[in-house]
Amino acid sequence: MDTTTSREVTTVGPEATEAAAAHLARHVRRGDLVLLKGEMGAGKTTFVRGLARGLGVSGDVMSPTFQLVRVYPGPVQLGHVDLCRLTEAAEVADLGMDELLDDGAVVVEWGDRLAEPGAVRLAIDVLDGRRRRLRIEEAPAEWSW
Amino acid sequence: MVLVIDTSSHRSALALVAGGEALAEDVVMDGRERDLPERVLAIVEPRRVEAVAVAVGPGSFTGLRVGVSYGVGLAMGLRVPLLGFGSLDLQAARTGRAATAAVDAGRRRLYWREPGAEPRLGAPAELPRELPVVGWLRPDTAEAVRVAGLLLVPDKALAGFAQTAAMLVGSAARLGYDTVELRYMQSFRPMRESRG
Repeated sequence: MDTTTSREVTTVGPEATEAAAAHLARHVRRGDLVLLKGEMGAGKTTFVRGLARGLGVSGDVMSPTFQLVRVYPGPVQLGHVDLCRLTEAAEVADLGMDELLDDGAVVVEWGDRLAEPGAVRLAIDVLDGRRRRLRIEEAPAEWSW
Repeated sequence: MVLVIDTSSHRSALALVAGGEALAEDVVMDGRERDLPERVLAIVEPRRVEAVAVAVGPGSFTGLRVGVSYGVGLAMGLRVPLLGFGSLDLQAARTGRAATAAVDAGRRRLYWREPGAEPRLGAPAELPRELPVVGWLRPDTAEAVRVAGLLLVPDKALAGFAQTAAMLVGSAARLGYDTVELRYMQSFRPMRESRG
């Protein structure tokens, strides 16, 4: 992290992005829905890996692009959803996200495709090959880096 | 005889019924457990099952998938008809009074249905005040229903699961093994602008 404000941080390299996400995980509670926005290659899965590490959950974090949902057990269970291939409401219903949120927190790649008031919205902006700006777009006031 | 499976709530309910009569019942508290086959074997010899009836929802996403997929597999394997009924229809039929039937929808909300109306999804405070509520709700949801000023009818004041299922299976719809549709609604919606 080379520059930091409370609601955004710029990272250089995937390790720094993962570390920033791990640090942010201290705000994540059961029932939280975290929607991630970022283009292909921005580092969404890297970010989720950091969140998982920060939450102390077990299991290898991999992109659920084809599985759609992965669940990592831990002190706060983390549900990992990828909406890359989903657009229809009926398909979103097939993910069982309500129950995942009863059981733990849920982080959603391509989460900007969901209209969900009250969700935490985070954005990963690609600045260049290695630099990323991580932004808290919508979250409770206490969320910060 | 008909094997009835209802895993739409946090309870996992099995019943064996025949000719409108309840023969056996097994209701346990966790609808997500994986021992359905053993529990079925404890109440019936599978080759005596002439049809399998499953609750198709609305209700627990995981519970419905477990119970319905098991029911479909059993019916296919035994080559017997598969029947389906609504979870809210069963709960409503447990009382002779007008009541709102309800089941947990997750995130402290309910699927609920007033007599003669379509199922809806909402918070306990949205349920009609003038009607008592029937359903198998989790303790925290039951408490939220009471806090909303609604009367939740105690289980012991209602007809039992098998007794109600025995009445209901006569009118249950015949389902295709490969065309069963689970009924669960939920509030997540895609952004309209993301289409195309």
